[in-house]
Amino acid sequence: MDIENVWQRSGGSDDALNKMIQQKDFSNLHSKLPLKKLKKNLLIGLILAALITAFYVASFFFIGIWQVHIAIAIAILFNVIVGFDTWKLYTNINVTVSTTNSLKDELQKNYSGFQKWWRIQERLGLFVYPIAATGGFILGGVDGSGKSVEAFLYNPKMLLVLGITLLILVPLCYYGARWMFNYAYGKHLKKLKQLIDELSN
Amino acid sequence: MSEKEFLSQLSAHQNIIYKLVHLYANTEEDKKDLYQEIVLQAWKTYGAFRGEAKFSTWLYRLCLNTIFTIQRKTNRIEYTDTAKFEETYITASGNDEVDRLYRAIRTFPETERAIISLHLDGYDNKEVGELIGITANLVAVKLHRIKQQLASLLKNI
Repeated sequence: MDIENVWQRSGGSDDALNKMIQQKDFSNLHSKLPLKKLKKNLLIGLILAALITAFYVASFFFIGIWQVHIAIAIAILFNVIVGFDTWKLYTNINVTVSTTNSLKDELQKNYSGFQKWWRIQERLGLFVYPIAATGGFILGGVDGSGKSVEAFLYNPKMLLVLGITLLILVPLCYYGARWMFNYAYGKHLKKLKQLIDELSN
Repeated sequence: MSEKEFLSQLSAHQNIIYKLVHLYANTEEDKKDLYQEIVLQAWKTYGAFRGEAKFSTWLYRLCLNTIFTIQRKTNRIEYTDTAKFEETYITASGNDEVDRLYRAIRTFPETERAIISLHLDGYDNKEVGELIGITANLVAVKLHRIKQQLASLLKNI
């Protein structure tokens, strides 16, 4: 078989492609690029983070427990930092395929976009959730028991329960976030990595 | 470039889209998704096309970058001399030789399919390297192996 010749003869077209090329209004077409999905998720995350931060700020003024104030302040601070990083990533993600990047660079751009998002989720899981959980535990405990914070936490059993709660909640949140990330993008990320490795060897 | 020019360029070069999509689509749905994404991305980015490169090269790069970054169902059979080609999804072209060639190329890893298709479309090793992001030497090494395997595959079917 004359491979070059057969290849040259193979270029054709089909109805689906013709229809799309002849279509006048391309705004009806919707992109299915994973980076677009990621960008949408980042925007949803930003809106949720803003709402949660607003709730924290409001709670700060309504709750009269200084220990909870500290937890809320730290949670707000981390939320702002994570929110800022999310915003930076959101604005840096270009959902249009590059016509100047090489294939390897384009694969790396996609791969690093997802990796950066995961690092943001990781920080949320490791820093924001434990602080929010501690604040929530103290607030719930004080409210439920009717005791002062000092009296509530003076009980060694409560400190033990707080420790156990954190020991359960933090990994649960962290691994839960990881599971969701892998569920949504794991296969795609693995595929991108495999393609980058293929090109590197 | 006006919309009219864009459409005429795209029509004139649609064989590039057609060939690449048929090398990578694993299902009928995949094929339509890839067509749609390529046409959409070409439409979104053609304003930046300044004519420094040939339109065909510009479109080739766009097609490859789109195909490789979109989520597709994976379905590739491993390379063996007697691979069962009928297991691979492919739209019949009505030409037995063309179908055989596509089935054979589709047994290769995805990045190697890109290299062989660029080579068969007349790009030299340096150009292939630039489009793919590897050195011309590595292209030559890979191409040598791909061609040997391809010849052996085609002999056995």
